[in-house]
Amino acid sequence: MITWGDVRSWNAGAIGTVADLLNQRCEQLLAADGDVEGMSRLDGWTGDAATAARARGTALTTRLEQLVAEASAVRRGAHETQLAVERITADVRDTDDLASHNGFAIDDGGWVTTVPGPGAAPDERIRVELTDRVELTDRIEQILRQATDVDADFAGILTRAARGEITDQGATTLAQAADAGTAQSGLSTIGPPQGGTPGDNRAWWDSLSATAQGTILRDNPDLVRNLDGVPVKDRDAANRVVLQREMTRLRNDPSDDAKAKLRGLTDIDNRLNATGPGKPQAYLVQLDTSGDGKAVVAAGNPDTATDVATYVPGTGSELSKIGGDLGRSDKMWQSATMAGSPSPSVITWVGYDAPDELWDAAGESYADHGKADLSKFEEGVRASHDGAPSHNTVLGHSYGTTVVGHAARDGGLDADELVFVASPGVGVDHANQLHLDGVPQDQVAQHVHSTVAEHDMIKITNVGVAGHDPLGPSPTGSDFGGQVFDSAPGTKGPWYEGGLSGAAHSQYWEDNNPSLRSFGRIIAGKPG
Amino acid sequence: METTMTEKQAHDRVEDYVRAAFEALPGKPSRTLFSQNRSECTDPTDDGPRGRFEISVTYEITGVQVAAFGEHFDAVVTWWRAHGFTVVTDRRPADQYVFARNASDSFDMSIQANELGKLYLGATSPCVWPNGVPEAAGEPPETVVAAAPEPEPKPQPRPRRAAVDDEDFGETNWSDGGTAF
Repeated sequence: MITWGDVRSWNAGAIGTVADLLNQRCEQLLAADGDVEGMSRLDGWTGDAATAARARGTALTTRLEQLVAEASAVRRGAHETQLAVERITADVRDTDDLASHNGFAIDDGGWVTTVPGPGAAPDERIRVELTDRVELTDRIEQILRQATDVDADFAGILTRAARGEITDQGATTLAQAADAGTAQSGLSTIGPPQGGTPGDNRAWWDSLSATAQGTILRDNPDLVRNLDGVPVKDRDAANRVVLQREMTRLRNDPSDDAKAKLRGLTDIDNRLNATGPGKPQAYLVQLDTSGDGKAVVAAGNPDTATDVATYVPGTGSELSKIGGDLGRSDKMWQSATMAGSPSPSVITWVGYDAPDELWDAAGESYADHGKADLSKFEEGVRASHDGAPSHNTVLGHSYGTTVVGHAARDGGLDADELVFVASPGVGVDHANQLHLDGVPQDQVAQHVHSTVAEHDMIKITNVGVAGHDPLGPSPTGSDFGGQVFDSAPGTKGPWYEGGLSGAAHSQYWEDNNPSLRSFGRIIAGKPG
Repeated sequence: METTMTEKQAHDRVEDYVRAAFEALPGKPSRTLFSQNRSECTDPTDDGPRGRFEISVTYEITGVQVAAFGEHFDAVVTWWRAHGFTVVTDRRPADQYVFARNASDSFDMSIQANELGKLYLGATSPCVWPNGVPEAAGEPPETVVAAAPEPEPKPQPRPRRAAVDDEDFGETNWSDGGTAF
């Protein structure tokens, strides 16, 4: 097992010397190609001696081709190992420096220890220390994974060459033999850690060379395009390729399901290509056309934004209908900008299977299926962010609030604010039963915001009778303990439905609704 | 289903409203287009007719000192009251946001500002049919056009780096690439 102490002492220059020597020897062999060919030709010489000489010459040529193949394989392996070791040792130095600057030390076993010293107030110091320690540990793990992989790959090349498993593959010239040997060599690109956290994924991606990242994006985009923690620009690049591929496939599928999904993908494609006032650059962060389909699109780059909101739509949302949700996110981006966010990003997260109808939203199963993915996604938003942490908001609408609530209840969300819009219930009776990473538990209720329209049909789901309200009470209730902000009354329904209407359930993003201004203010870190 | 003004007429009117209110501002500010939206008025849970759109524009007003924002808010509110608009929401002083509606044509306007010193003036139409009349069957238009198929990409093996990493390509002599001596 390779340790931190091992990689600290790795010497890329030593491997470079070997690579250069191998290169020199290979060149000498290749320069002899004409002489080697001549050994078995011997034009004009006949007789037993000539026959024996030709046989000997042919055997030598065959042996030489094999040697050239093996040497070329090792040469490529040594060269790529030199590059990999240069990068790994640079990463080791950077990580040691990062640890040192933040009051930590890393021992030869890779353990991170705190170096006592003056600093911020104890609570703040502990919080920062925990964050830094996790980042350092993620980095160390991934650097050691890379080192182990490089070591194993190069050892494998050397072993195969030593065992004669590198062949000239029928080459008839030394140059062909060299090409054959080169093709049987090379370091693999290590994949993301199995079951890794978004922080692990980010550390893994950062540990790859730009060339390796480019190779993955070009040849194997599925490896990273939906991987939380990988930078959004890279996920976007990978997903755009897949979007075009999927649109082509669906155009040739006559089924209704395919037509519906194609409508959603066309809306995404149009938004990705849209420019102009109020339309920041969009990024395709996730795409999956199986089942009802899932997609995540960001308006503005969340990795560089000061304020990041994730919008979780509710009942009836699915890939085919994402167009309206993308419009809502653009409006929230505009509202956040007008409310004073220096640099917002609003993410449309159609990342779970939502109930098809308002009437299907009485059960918790949809929320329970979506909560883990939402939690991990939010963790990824943090992990892939550059610079100082952004102010993050998770905003749910309708059944989306239930997904957000369950995620915050059962493990917590890595967010600074929650917004519940037109909620049928969020799975708890009180805001202080929700958990936000980094927000002290006794302050969570100040970061939970809710609204519901006077005429919204969703109110019939909040019966307020114990045992008959499976999703929990409305978060706008006075007993819930959160922050409540206004929205327009909405379209009034018929008297026989108590004045409630389905239309009012959908009007929170209309320009004439004060709720839209509040969304922007909360995203910008201000009171609703 | 009722007929409405056309989308073009709605767009012209929101521009007209903003221009007129802008001209009522004191001093000589400038304006730049901040956003323009064409938002469908329905969502999956809305049983109303599909295919209608709300048209809106918002301009950023520039060249105004933050200290004069209050004066500009007041000027706009005064113009609104003189032109059929009623203030529906006024969140001042906690939030620099005022919103008004014109009861005669259901157009809305807003003025809002923030701590970064930005001032915005916008107008929004009610939901209108693109051509002023209900679309047939109320279904969204199909935008899908069949295209020639492209071959499916082949499954990729575990990715490998290129034979030569470009990071120090220039430092290395790789003259064996298939050129027989």
